[in-house]
Amino acid sequence: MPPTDPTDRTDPVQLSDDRLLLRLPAQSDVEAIALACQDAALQRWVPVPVPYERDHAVDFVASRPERWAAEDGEMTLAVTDRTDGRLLAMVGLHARDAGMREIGFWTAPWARGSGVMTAAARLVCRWGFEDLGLARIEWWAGVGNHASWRVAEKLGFTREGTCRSRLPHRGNRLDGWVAGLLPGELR
Amino acid sequence: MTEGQRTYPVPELEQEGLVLRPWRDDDAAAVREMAQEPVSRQWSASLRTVVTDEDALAWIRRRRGGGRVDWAVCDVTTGDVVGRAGLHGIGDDGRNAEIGYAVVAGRRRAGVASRAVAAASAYAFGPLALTRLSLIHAIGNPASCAVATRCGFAYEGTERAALDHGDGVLHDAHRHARLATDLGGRVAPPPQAPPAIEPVEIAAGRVQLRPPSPADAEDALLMLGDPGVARWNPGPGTLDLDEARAWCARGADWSSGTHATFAVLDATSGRLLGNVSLHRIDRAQRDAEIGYRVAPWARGQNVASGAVAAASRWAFGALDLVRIELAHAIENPASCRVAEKAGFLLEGTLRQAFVYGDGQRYDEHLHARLVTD
Repeated sequence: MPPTDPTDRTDPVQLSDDRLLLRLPAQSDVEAIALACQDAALQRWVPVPVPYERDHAVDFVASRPERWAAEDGEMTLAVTDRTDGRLLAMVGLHARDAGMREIGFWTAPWARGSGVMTAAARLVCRWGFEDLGLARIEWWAGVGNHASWRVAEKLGFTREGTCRSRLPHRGNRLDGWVAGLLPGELR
Repeated sequence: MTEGQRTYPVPELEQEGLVLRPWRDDDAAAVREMAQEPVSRQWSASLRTVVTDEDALAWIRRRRGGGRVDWAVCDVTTGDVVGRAGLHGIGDDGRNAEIGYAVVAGRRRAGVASRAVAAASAYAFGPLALTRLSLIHAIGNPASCAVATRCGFAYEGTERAALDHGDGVLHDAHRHARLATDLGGRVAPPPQAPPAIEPVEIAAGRVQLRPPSPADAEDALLMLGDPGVARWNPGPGTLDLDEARAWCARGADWSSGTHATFAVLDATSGRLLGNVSLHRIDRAQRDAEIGYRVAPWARGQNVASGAVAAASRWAFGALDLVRIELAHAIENPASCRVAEKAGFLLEGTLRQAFVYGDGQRYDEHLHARLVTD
């Protein structure tokens, strides 16, 4: 039998470095989330509802505490600017198998090209290995999502395969890239 | 449930073309008629006892018992009895009760139940000052589920083996409830459970696939005890014969809609050769995973590849799947040959992806077959 998933029933955490604070999404983030999710580049790869309405953001924020705790849940953190509290990105670890989680993220258009996503994902991966004791973090993205891969590659992920018709995406299915990051590989 | 001894007055209530009034002894004929109708008999355990006018009268007198308020629901113009509604199981603390209702055959689909439930609820939360009303219905009765959500009774869960439909089996039931503090109005319906999968048998040349049977338990026990199977197919652990029977029975229950597990048998002798299981079936996303075990006495005969190919063909058709994944430890090359023979292309090598039966984490090959392959 696989060991008990050490990530079970973990309460939401806050992570930070000198520039960023990662915390549970709050209702005060709703306007920024709704605005970011209008972005065509984000909509192309992230399976958010289209058209994205303000109520989608309200529901997303409201469901986070419960989704954080759920057995098949997602540990989602809002990435914010430490100085002015502005929302910059979203990052989460999604339940997969015991000892393993999948990382997912999106960057708001106003925060791209600044290394925010890589820094935030690095904090989350380090927390995943050191505090949750994960044995593997997995990354999936649609084939051709180079921006996402650049983040994963900088963190030390190794591409492991290309899976056909793998990712459900608004009634369609995309071919998917898969990569893995093991303890000791995080850069 | 014990009912409080206290008896409650039954007021007359009017609601949009209906009048809810106390039962009278001369309603017996109407009650008998309602009880003779198959749909009412199916869903109501109390009406099922009513055959004669005397039974009907006894039923009416029980409606006047303690811990309950029960109304005849009548058409306000004609005065005809068109159904019943009631609060029962009013607790000793006078805070909780359960609501029940029935509608006569000719008056269904006209909102009678919803209006009667609205009137009874208003009385329960108003003059009776209850804080909570439960509404419990058989999951096979979607009309009742619609009444519940329309009348503001939020779905709280599914109670297993909770209701007697008179067919000798106890059925699962939805529990809904409305609180006095709820706003009323329509509430969200229960989450859609995946549709149950109808068990099937598949003839595939020299092998036959069918849901596992407790009769397979002895061979299943031998198969599960094989060191290769125990290592590469981490399953139920060490079992005794009774547990193996239960394990087979569980495999044969496909009602969750998330797995379809087959025993693979020799088509001639009927002996168990292995098993193959579609699991993590997601009907909405149209994908699944497949796994298999081969008994030590059946190795080297293409049993697994034939069974996997047959089960996959069935799943692409009957379950409308588009992608089935097959993962195995790369140290298990026999499984890689099965995957290739069954038409599952190798798509990647996932490092340290799964903990197998020896407690070790292994690199895995991820294979997949698409419906279009």
